[in-house]
Amino acid sequence: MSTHESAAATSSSSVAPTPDARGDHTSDDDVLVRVESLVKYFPVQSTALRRSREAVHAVDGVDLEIRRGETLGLVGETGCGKSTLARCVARLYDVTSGRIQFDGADITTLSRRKMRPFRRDIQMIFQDPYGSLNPRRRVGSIIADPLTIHGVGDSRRGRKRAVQEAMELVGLNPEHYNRFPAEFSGGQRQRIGVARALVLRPKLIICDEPVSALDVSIQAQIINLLADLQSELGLTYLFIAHDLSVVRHVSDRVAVMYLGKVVEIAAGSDIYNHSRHPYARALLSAVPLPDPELAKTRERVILVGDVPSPIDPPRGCRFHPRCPKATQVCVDQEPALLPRFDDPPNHAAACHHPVADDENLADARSTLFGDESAVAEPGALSG
Amino acid sequence: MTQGINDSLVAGGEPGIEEELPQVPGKKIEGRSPLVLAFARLRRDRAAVISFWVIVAIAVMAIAAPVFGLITGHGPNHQYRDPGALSAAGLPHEPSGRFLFGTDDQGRDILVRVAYGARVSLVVGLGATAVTVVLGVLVGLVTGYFRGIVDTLLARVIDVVLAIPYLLFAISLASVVGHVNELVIILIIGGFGWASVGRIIRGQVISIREREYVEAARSLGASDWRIIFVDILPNIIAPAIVYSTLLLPVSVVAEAALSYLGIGIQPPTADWGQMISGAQLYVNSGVAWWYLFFPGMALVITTLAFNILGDGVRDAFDPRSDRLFAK
Repeated sequence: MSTHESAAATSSSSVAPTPDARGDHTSDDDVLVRVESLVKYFPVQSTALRRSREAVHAVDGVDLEIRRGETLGLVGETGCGKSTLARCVARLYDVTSGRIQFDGADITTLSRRKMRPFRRDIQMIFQDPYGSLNPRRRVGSIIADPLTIHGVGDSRRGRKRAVQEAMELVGLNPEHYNRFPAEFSGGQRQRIGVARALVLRPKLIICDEPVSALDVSIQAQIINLLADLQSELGLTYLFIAHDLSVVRHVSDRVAVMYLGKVVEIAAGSDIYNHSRHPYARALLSAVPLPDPELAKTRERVILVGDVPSPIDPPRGCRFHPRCPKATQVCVDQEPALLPRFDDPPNHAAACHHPVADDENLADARSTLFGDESAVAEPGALSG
Repeated sequence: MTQGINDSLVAGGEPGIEEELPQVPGKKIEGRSPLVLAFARLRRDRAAVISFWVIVAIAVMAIAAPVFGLITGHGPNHQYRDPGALSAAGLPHEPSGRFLFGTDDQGRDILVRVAYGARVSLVVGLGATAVTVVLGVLVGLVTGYFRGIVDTLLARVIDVVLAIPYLLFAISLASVVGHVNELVIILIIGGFGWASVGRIIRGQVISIREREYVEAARSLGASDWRIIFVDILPNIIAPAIVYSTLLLPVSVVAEAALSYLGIGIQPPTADWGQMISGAQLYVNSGVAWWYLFFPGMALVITTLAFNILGDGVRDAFDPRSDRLFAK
């Protein structure tokens, strides 16, 4: 273990830290990952005869910082770009534009070979515990993959010991080293995925919906395991989920995404108690409450319409076609991600009409619906 | 199934219980690989097991062909001209104590020649299948994994190979090469067969490369070749084995067909296809049924055994295939 850490330390210190243009809010040492105006478009399938110039705007200008040792939760509906953002940070995708800094170094355009040393420090845990483990390979060799790929530990026995240590760390029986993934339950398989991510002692672990494919009882186990490992090993997590109650439990800060943009970012408690963006408010009001009495009295925001196509996202604020507070300015101008009211500087929302704490969003009516949408969709208002 | 049991145990409340799988103390815990499990299933398939032993018997016959010659005292190419071997009119002699399977039109022992013919059939059948599958899997892996320009080019090559009329090409090639031996036939059959295997494997690779475990390997910084051979190839092995066993009888028949047409193994080397071709004249006139029957039966039994074994292998490697519906 100690050899891994020292090796990782030298690899990172050899990279000269780039001067930070906006170093005013947090010092550079504190930030592990800095994402600046990141854009990722996927060209729509085009054939040889018919070239299409359309593209899916999966991530469209995102600025984020992940600080050392924290868990940044990333929430949003399916298709809002949260997984794409994570895969860009892991450099599984080449970005369209923008910048990604990891540990002080610009990794945005590093070649595959130059990216390799950074991959040791960035590991991923995947959503599907069935799909993310090769069914034809023994668990021991799957967990040893990061070691063999990066040439860590020269002897077979040394690697085996490291693998068994990792298995023990995540609560697996190290004796099961020689088994195949099919011989484990879903929760155990996800532990295997965690062990694989841990074996190199990375700095950042990107968890892409690590529990959404698991039973609720197993979800809690895996989340607690991740939390324990974080305090034990000083890990930093980028935690993606669409389940807000899961994110609330694990995250220090939460970023809410909608159609490729971050619409609100705040400390975990702030986003739950003082959310400013109508979308974040609506998302939170959809979280099931375990207490039926509380659930009855809670404000319930029901959004109308569907998420617009990411191929041709709405101009201005992307949420305006569905927003109960939308006005003409939302169509004309894209709101900046800034602190609203007297929120702390780390709580920012991208909204022209931020929601106050005591405001009941369910009563709000968009002034846009009167002239445009209401004609096309008369039933939308009554709902 | 085990998963369901474990989950229900955990749901029962104790978090630690998930790790405790039943185990025999002192026994080493080692998972059985999918291949091992498939062979265990294959061993329970009686028809496949019988076919396997039939093939073993044919292989033994091929290896021990000189022993047949020693016991009977007849060389494979020796022409007996005496009345016990060839009638006065020069017609083949029917099966007798001296020639158990009778003789052919040259007075040669059909039993010994059938045994020697098995050598050609098996060597070419196995060799051509190996060339077909190895080439097909390699091309399929490369074209399926890399996509893009590599895929486009190789896919066109596959189309071209599939478009070439195989027999016409084989006939003209044989005339160009002049001396056709086993290796040439293996290369002809394999050179045409890989394209269809390559296309099938390509499809499988395209679906496997989108799996999360491949993405996981990529996120770890694995090289393309490592992903191809460590992560994708093991998932291709099972279909490759299935195609191999199904291709074996096809290759055996293809070799016999080439030899039947006179562009395969050249006389006087004993070969089943060639013997069938030689027997035609004598069977049509109703003179010598044994001349066709024994090499023909040898070919039928061999291909049938390979086919049944191939079906068994397919069922064993893919337990969800046809069998469910058959029952």
